[in-house]
Amino acid sequence: MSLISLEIISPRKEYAAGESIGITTRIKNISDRPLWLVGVLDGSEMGLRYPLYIPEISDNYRVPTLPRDGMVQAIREKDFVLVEPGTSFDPEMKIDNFGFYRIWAFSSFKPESPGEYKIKLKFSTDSDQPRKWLGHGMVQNQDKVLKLIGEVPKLTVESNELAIKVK
Amino acid sequence: MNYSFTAKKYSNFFRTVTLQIDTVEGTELPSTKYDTYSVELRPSDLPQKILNIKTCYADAGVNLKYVRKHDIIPVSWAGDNAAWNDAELNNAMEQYMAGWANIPQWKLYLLAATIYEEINGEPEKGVLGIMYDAQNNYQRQGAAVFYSALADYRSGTEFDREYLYTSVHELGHAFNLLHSFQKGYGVVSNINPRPDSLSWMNYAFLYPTGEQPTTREQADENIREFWSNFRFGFDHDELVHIRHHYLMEVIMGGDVFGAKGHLDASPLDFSKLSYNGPCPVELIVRTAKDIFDHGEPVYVELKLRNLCDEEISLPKYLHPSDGIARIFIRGPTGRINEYEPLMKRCVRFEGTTLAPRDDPKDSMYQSVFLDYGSAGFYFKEPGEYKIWAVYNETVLSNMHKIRISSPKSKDDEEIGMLKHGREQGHLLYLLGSDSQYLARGNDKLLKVSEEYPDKALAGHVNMIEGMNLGWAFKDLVNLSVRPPKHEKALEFLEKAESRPELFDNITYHLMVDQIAESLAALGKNKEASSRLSDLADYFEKRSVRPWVVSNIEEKAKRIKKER
Repeated sequence: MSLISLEIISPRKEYAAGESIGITTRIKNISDRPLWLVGVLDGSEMGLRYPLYIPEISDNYRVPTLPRDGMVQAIREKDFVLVEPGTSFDPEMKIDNFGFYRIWAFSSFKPESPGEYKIKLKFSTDSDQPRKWLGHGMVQNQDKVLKLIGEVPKLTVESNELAIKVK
Repeated sequence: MNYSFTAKKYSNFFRTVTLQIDTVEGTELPSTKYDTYSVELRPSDLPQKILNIKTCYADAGVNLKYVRKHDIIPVSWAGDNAAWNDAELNNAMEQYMAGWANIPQWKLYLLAATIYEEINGEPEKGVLGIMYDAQNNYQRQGAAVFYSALADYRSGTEFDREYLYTSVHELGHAFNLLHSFQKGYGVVSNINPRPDSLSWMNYAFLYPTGEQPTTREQADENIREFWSNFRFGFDHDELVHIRHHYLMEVIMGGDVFGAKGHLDASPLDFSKLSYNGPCPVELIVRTAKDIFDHGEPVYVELKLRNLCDEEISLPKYLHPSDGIARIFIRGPTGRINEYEPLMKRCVRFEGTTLAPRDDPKDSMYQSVFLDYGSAGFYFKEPGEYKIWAVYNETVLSNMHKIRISSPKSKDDEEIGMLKHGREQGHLLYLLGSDSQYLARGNDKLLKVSEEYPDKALAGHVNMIEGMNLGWAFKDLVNLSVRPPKHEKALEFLEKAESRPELFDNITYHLMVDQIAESLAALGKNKEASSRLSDLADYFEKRSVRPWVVSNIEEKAKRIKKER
């Protein structure tokens, strides 16, 4: 049985071409114990580090490129959020100037052509290798951060599939 | 306060760094002739210039010297998917970079690779470059730019501009520069992000707010705004960092990426220094042994040697407490600490002369008790430590490696407990003391000497107890002077003397000298002289400098004659 559920939501099912579609994300703790989770970090969306938040949008849409380098911010103690059983967590919420991040593919999602677009999100914490979590640069309180990484449940979850019609 | 001084010019540059650029087959080197007028979107008053990586760094005060060696690396090194992960990039650097070594050195490696690989093994076209060398112990030596990703993103002269930008940006990380919008992220709290910085280290799409855009239009507008204003340079604070910050913060292979370990260290008072000259000197760090028992104090010996064929004059201070030489310790976790002596001396400038190289007097030496300082004990954890020193902010020593053993028994654990206290640290640092404020610590150290006499720490405790007792102690609380207790001193010192393997030459010399002094004070001049003669023989066999040996022999003769 899964410990969490992942849901992506849009306010409507139908949009006009060129209209912005605000997709939001919720992770719910459906287990019977508190869970340590981490929101969208620098590089999470591009698969550069854990946790992974990988959006998938049907082939009829190309996500605009935001070119960057591979240097991702070091993870911090405050990036770990304890989510109580039965409660939800917004992994894109702003906790300070350095996180969490919006999922660019979703926030910029504005299809110009009519058609049906299918959208999903994959969330994964399934790595025990700290180097895949830590990022680049100094990690403050590294011992504590490593312990917290160890406490995040290791899992991969796919969201619901969101179908958007664009006229 | 105003100062005036004359500065002698040695170079047009603050730093000189070698750069080797290799390409993966199918990629090309960045343009060496990027014309600032070739892309229309630019500041209206931007001077027309031809830029390349070398000129961009020259503008920052860095003399980048290209290494002639240029390898073309097979794309097969990246595995079946032809995409490069950090380990593969590191591997290429270690195999192909001329003079690559895991030490701090002014050497950079840039690889024009094809495309980056995500942690799940998928190629990632959105990553244009990386300073991949950021998760091991000697970071910031290598960077990569991803040719295929750049070609996918831009074409024509915009490609040339982006390629140059990415190359300079990634090499900037190797100088330990963070992204403009991430300044202050990490260990330093008094530096703020500068998302509006018109710098090589910014991301155009985050300019000027640092806020992640939420629409494509906003991202495009940020990018336009950046290139309309960017003048192809680093910002002021970055220039200060590259040119003037502490050596280990900047040099490749020095501090880990993002670390500002020396931010709190006091800058050197350069007015005291007379030696800034081009005549090379060599600084060597060594220890009496490579593997230390758990709880055994660590001493290092610094040696500064003249490599010139002529005599040179320079400040005579080699101990970190004088502020000219500095010692750095990298612990088992990779964290670097600068050794902070317990007390700093305000020294009046005095120079010394080193004879031309290969003369017996071409070097000076200093023993440093490195185990304890104002930050506490530096070698508490078992594991591998690296120690190096910097003299006059310009001369970098070798990287000396030692290992601190894990406790092997309950006795070892008990010894660790008895040693690691503030009072004990002070006593070991000060070579003992009668101070009532350190009495409890002294009791614990004496317990080590009495109950664990075979342990290395006991040898050091005997040494410091003996040294302290051999001197008079001025008690400023009770306004009294305790005269030397030579007989008791000798009891301790002779136990320590029987274990020369525990001490470096300078400390051992100091200890035997005190034995001779105490013996002489007790009227046993012949025996004192004999001890010094034995020391001279011992040092001769250990190839200690002849002038040191002859000084000991002279003292042996002199003390024999004294009555």
